[in-house]
Parts: sequence; structure tokens; C-alpha cells
Amino acid sequence: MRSIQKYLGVSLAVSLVAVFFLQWLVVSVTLRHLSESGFKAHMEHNIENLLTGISFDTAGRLQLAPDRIETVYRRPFSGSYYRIASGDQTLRSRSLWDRDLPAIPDTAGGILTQHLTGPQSQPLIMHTRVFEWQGRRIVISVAEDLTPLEAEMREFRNRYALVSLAALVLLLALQAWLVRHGLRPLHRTRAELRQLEQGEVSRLSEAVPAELSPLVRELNHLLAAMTQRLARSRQALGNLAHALKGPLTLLTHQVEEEKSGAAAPRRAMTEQLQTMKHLIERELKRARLSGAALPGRRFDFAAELPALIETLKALYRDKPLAINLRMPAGVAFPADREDMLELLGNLLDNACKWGRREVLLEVAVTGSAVTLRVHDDGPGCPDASLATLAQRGTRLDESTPGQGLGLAIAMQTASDYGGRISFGRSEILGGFLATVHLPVANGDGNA
Amino acid sequence: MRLLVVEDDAALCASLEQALEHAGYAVDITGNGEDAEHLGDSEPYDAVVLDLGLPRRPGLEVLKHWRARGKTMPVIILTARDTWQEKVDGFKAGADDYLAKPFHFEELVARVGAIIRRRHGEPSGGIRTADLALDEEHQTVAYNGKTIALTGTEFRLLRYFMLHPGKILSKTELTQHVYDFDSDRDSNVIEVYIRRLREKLDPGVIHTRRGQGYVFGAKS
Repeated sequence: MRSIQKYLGVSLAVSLVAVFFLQWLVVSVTLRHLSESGFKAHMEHNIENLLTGISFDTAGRLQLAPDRIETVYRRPFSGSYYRIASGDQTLRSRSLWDRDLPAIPDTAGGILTQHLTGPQSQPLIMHTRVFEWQGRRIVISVAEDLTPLEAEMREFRNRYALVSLAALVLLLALQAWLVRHGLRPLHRTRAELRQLEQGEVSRLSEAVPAELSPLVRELNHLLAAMTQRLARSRQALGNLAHALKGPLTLLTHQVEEEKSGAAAPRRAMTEQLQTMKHLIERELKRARLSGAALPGRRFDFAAELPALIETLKALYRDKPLAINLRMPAGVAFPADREDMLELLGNLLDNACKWGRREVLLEVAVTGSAVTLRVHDDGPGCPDASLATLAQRGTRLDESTPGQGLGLAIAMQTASDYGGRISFGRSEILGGFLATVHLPVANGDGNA
Repeated sequence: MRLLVVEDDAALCASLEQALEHAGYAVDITGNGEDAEHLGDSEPYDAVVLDLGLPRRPGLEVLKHWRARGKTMPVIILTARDTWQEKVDGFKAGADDYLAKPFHFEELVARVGAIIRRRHGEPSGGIRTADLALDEEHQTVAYNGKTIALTGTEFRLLRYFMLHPGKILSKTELTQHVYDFDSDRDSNVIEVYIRRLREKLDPGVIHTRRGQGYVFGAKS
């Protein structure tokens, strides 16, 4: 997909260059045309002036009154020339020296203007008129050197091009800035999306330009719908559990209390009730795993872990157990709170169950991952069983309820977040060690 | 010992009431959060069994409100969902223990006994004083090497005395902690039970403070 910024930039630049070139061309041509028109008017005037000085003597010879000859016509190669012809007689300006202007036949009608190369390779513009006077035809041609005009035109063109170029550069810079500025809401939205992923915000700001607004609104709508759906399904699960577990508790109690009747059917019923309980338990745990973080959720280790540890201390209050936490300050991780509590709760619960006097939770942040280590000082797990343990968690549906289900849930949660859990022996406390690696999407875990 | 059981499943609630009464507690029951909060505020319960999924007001909110108003009675929360989030939130809200459904009634009874004992500084085992040992399971008391059977009310009364040794207990207070809401609360009946306890044990076990009430175990 091409970049909008590049596309806008290039097309605006091309159109600007085209406009400037066209303008330069039109202005140059128009100006030249205007200058030549000025020249023509001037030459017309000269022709009229010469015409008033023309006369024929009694012998019928063509004559030009000397006082009608302007000085420029007397200086050789001055750039102003005339040529008057009538019949086979010709009068040339002194400025032509030994050269001549092209003869125009007196049959040519009206006014004639042409460009030609004059003496000393001067670019000339020649203006010719044919008059009829006293029964004779008189052809008056006046020529003017265009060199000064050409020079001026060239200079104008250069200067104009220079100014245009400067304006073009300025405009290009301006439009580049405008494009960038105009696209800034996109960058803002992109930054917000990143924040959303990090769980710092729960929805995108809708204060965006009209073009982006529908997109952002739809996105927010989707986010809300997703959050709501997940909340609703969890709520439904909770309700179902609640609705089923009450009667189940009661039924178990009643079967156990029922002293009359044979023991065998009672045992069978108890067994079935037990199975039902485990089935509900397992399916609930499986279903409630939400996978990756909900938008806008952020698990703040500093806020949540002490409460979790207090809970474990309360649950294991009859055991002389120290539960310690080693954690750098300000660790937060985009994850659902329930998932993270489930993951850590299960691992810590396991550690508390087996630990004798001490359990340690270490939290470490390395660039792109959060590492959680749960140590205990219990008997640990024989190396041979570690592999089996890891396998059991991979297939939740095969795991025996109760035993290892906690670890299985922890493993499932970690893998839903793109992480993994490994098991081993704790070098610090000598017991079991569970290590969880959770990758942090985009950037580090510190916030 | 008087308990409040808050559970919206009526059948389960009735069974719980029965089981806990059988274990020697005076039990009040309610099936919704609002009534539960009100009862907890107005009655001096020794412990509460609180379900989290309640109609009208969630159990967690009820518990938070009690704690915010300085109600310190021990509370066991019951939950159907059994997630760590619920456990953490429950303990954060001020719960003393946690039990996931489905549970065995024996487990609940044992835990109720445990949180009440813990509240009175008797962390484990039965309630005992220098010469008395209360057997909560059989509702008997061992005294001078003899095991003496107690009736339900006698047991509740003696347990309350043993948990508050040396403290002056008024007839009203004893009545409130020995009977549930629906019982006929005639405080004069307490005198009858105290006399019976004195007869079964030793007249010096419970002293009368005229105009104030009774003191257990203090030699005056």
C-alpha cells in the first residue's frame, strides 16, 4: 500500500511544477508579443515620418527631405534602417552602409512584417508599407534591431524563472508541511492504537477529522462490543456455575446424610456427583481463559501481587510459611487481570501447598519479556517427572481434575499470551521452580 | 454463637441453616444482599457465611459496606466461580475465609468454628480454659476428667462464655448471641440456662455481677 503522504506530496509537486512552467511560458510569449507590438507602432510612426519627406523632382526622381532623416538612420549599423523604393529607384538609409534590406515588390498589399537577419548578423524586424502617391507606387520598409529587446527579454526570462523557482521551492516546502500537518491526526490515532494495545487507554479519542471519524467510531464500537461480549460470557459462566453448584452442594449433602438404604447406590450417586462437580469445574476453567489481553486492560504487578500474596497467606495461615516477593518498581503488563491472577494464583498455590517454610515470587523485566519465577522449598519434582508434568498441561482436557489442573491452567494461560512455562528445581530455595516467560507486545514492560 | 447465612438458593440455604443449627449455632438466614447488609448492621453476629452471587446487591459489596462501617465480625465467603480474582477481591474486601462451591457441609462447619476461634485468639484445636475443654463436634464439655453432655442452648451459652473469659456479659448480650432472630427472646430464660450450667459443672464457673451481668472464669 502506497503512503498517502508520499502520494499527495508527489502529485502536488508535479502539478505545481507544471503550473509554474506554463505560467513562465505564457508570460514570456505574451511579453515578447507586447514588445514587438510596441516596436511596430514605433516603426509605423517612422514610416509616416519618412513618407512626409518623400517627393519627386521634376525629372521624376525620388527624393527624401534631409530634415526628415533622423540621426539614427545616418549612423552606420545603428540598428535602425529604411529602404524606400518606387519603380526602379531605391533610397537606402546611410546606416545600412553597403548592405541592403530585402526588396519587397510593390504589388504586395497592405502592411507586411517580417523577421530577418540584418547587417552584422543583427536580428531585425522589418515593417513594410506600400503607398500609392501621385500615380506611383512607393514601398517603404523600416527595420529595427531586436538585439536590445532580445537581451532584455532574456534577462527578464531568467529573472522570472529564478523568482518562479524560488516560489516553487517555497510552495513545495509549504505543501509538504501541509500534508504532514494534515495527516497528523493519523499519527495521533496510530499512537493511540499503540497505547490501546499496551492497555493504557480503553478506547480511541473521537476528536479526529471528519474523514477519520467513522473509522475511529467503528473501532470504538467494536472494542466496546468485544469487551461487553467477553464480560457477558463470563457473567453467563458465573451464573451457570452458581445455578448448578448450589443444588450440587445440596445433593451431595443429602446423599451423604441419607443413612437408610443400601450403601452401594449411595456410593454410585456420590461418585456421579463427584464427576459432575469435576466436569463443571474443568469446563468453567477452560472456558474462562480469555486469551490475549482485552483492549485497555493492564495488569499492574505492584498493585495486584501484594493482594494476591495476602490472599495466599490467609488461605495458608495455619502453615508457618513466608511468601516473599522480589520485583522491580513499576512493572505493568497488558493483560487481563483475571487471567494473570489465575496464572500466578495457581503457581503460588502449588508452591504454598508443597513449600515447607518459604515461597518466593521473582518478577523480572528484560526488554521484550516479563519473567516470573515461583520458587518453593518443598520436595520439588524428580527430573524424570518434569517432562510428564510439562506434557500434562499441554492437553487440558486429559488432565485429571484437581491434580495438576492448576498447573495446566497456568500453562494454558501462558500459552494464550504467547508465552511458556518451564519447570525445574529452584537453586535459591531447593524445591520446585516454575518459570513463566511472557512476551510483551510492542516495547518494554515498564510503563 | 449466632450466625448469619446469606445464600439465595433457598433449598441450600435451608439445609445450611439446619446443619449449622445442628452444630450448635443460632442461625439467621436471608436470600438477598440488601437484607443481609441490613441484618449484619443491626444484629451482633459472631460470624457470617456470605454467598457472593446474590440478588439485589452483590455479596462483595455487602462485605465492603460492613467493613467500611466498622463491622468486624468474621466472614466466610461462598463462591461458585472459584477464580483467584474472586479470592483476591474477597480477601481484599475483608473476608476471613473462602469456600468454593460445591463444598461439604462438614468443611463449612469446621471453617465457621475455626474463624470464630481465631477471632477469639484460639487458633487451633478446641476451645479450652484451665479446667474446661469444649468438644464442639459432640457438643460436650470435659470437666475434671468427666465428659458432660450439653443441650443445644447450654452448649451455645457455654461456648460464648468460654470465648469471653473474664468479661462482664449482660443478659441482653447473651440472649443476642445465643438465640436466632425468630426465637422467643425472653432474657429471663438465660438465668435458667446459667443455673443448669452451674449445676452440671461447678457453681463457681459463672459469677453473677448484680445489675451488670455474668462473668465466666474470674475468681472474685
